[in-house]
Amino acid sequence: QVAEFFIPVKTSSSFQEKGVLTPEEFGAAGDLLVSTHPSWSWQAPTDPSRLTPFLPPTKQFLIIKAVPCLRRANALNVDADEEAVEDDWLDTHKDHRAQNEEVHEMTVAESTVTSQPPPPPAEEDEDPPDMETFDCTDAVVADDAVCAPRTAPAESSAEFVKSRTYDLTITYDKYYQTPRVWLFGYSEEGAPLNKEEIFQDIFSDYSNKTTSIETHPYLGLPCVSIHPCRHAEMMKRMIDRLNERYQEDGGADGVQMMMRPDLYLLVFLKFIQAVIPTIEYDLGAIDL
Amino acid sequence: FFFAMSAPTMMQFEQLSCRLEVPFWFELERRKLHEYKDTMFPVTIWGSYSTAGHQQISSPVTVGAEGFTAPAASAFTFPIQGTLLNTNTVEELKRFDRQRLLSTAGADIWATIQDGRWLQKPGTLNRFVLLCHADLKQHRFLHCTGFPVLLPARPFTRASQAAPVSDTFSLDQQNTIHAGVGELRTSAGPDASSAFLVTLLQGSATVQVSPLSAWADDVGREGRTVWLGVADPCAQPTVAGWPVRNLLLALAHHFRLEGVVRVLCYREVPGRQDISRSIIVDVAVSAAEVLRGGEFQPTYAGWPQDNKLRTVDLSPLMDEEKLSSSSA
Repeated sequence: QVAEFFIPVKTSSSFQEKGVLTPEEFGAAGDLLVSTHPSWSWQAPTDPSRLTPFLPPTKQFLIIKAVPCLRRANALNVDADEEAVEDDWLDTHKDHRAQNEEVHEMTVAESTVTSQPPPPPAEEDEDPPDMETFDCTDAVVADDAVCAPRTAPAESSAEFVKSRTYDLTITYDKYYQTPRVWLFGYSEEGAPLNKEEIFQDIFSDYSNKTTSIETHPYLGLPCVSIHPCRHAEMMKRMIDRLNERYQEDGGADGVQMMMRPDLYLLVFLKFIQAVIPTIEYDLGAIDL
Repeated sequence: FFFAMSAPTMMQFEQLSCRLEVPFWFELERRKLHEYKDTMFPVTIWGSYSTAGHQQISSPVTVGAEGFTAPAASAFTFPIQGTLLNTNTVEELKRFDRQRLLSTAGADIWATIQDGRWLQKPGTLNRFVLLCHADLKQHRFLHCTGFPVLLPARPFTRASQAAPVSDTFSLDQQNTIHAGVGELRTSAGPDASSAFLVTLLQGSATVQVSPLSAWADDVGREGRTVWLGVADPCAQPTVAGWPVRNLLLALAHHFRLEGVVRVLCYREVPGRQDISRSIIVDVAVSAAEVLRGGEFQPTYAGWPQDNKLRTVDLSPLMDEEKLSSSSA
């Protein structure tokens, strides 16, 4: 932890070589995200002591609020190919394991995930026994024009449903020189979700290895964070792939072209979507 | 066989919901401890909502820690003024005269209708009330939110089925409406653009967006069809959202309307040039039936129809906070 205080702030770009960002590049990537996806916005901490000096005071972190999450990710069926990619992306313990062990574990993971039954639909009419109520209902004026909420399961109906919602934030991680994603969730009834509940919305059984609960550096609340230790490596691979594809598609008349660093967060969020597949933040028409 | 005629269908609306953020509760705790102490008085707070951007999930009114100081100014959201009443004990909360709290906010809305302010700032027709008790020792909150609505003596009825916006407006026209609403927001502010007019000139495909205050000029003029556009947080494909109600009542009362108002429930996906989820529904209103005979103001409703109190328990969060800061 102390080491973090002694690492020099990157000023020259290692984006192409290592898949990391300087604070300036993080700012530019954030600006592009906000301008193309305006449901994201820059924010500053309310507590000035939480300000990061090397980031602009009004552009400290990115936030998107109240993102719907209708289903639990750990109840999804798993596509085997997809999981192979995500294994690379997510598994922070990969280095400590033998190759064959890894394959074995992947197969196991697949079967456990697919066998999980979907959660039963919430029984809206049954109140918990300790539900507090007003002493009387006399004061409430009858209003026939209120449309009754429907509680049909999300998949089968386009009717009104309640949903968990998440506030997602992206901070700049100085140690890993990458963006870092934080989750804070609310239940259908508006109460904050606990760690276990949030883990239900993180893909399969990786949640335990790649996520931790920590105090958010700007919000000061305990949040679930996706650990950034493999973000750079994965981004590097993605940047290479995109650069290659650009060349294959004909490139630009012999001029060597590279992916712009300010596209970083758009690519990054596409991958984060694989970790939290049911949290429906808007990625628009980005096609990678 | 006159009795075979079907009775007009009452318009129904989806009630707003409130999303009270955790930092809001912590700020309330702080203020209760250092400022309010044992006194109990209404406090003005602010929330905001956006139009429904999701296919299934209606947008809530969001209230954050900044709700104590200023209306939210973020892109795509509309501010909504609220009244917070925090009681000292659970018993006080349970016995509280809810209707009085709601009626006070409702009477404010009625006042903006009476003096015409609503025409310049239709956002003043939206309000919320938050009645709660904060248990500072246990970090536990009991609360209930209401959204005051002015009930017409006779409910509004539906004059047409709700239909997707594409049944009326082409994609080009939808884009023009989207751009027009954006311009109105830029020039007049979010408070003035939560409701607007969409005018179609007969014999051409030209649509234009104008501020609500142009109603008297636009409506009833030869060769024009006018829709009341309302920024709508409701996502249901056949149901109009809560903000439509007070607007219809204000229009009917102010302009002495007897007839049908075409309503465009405006649902923009925030940040996208996409209003295709908007719906259009025609509503029959009657100025003569806004107030009951002999009364000078309408009845106010808007609490949930049950008597339940919601609980938010932040003590686990405090424990986690302690754990994560001690392990750091």
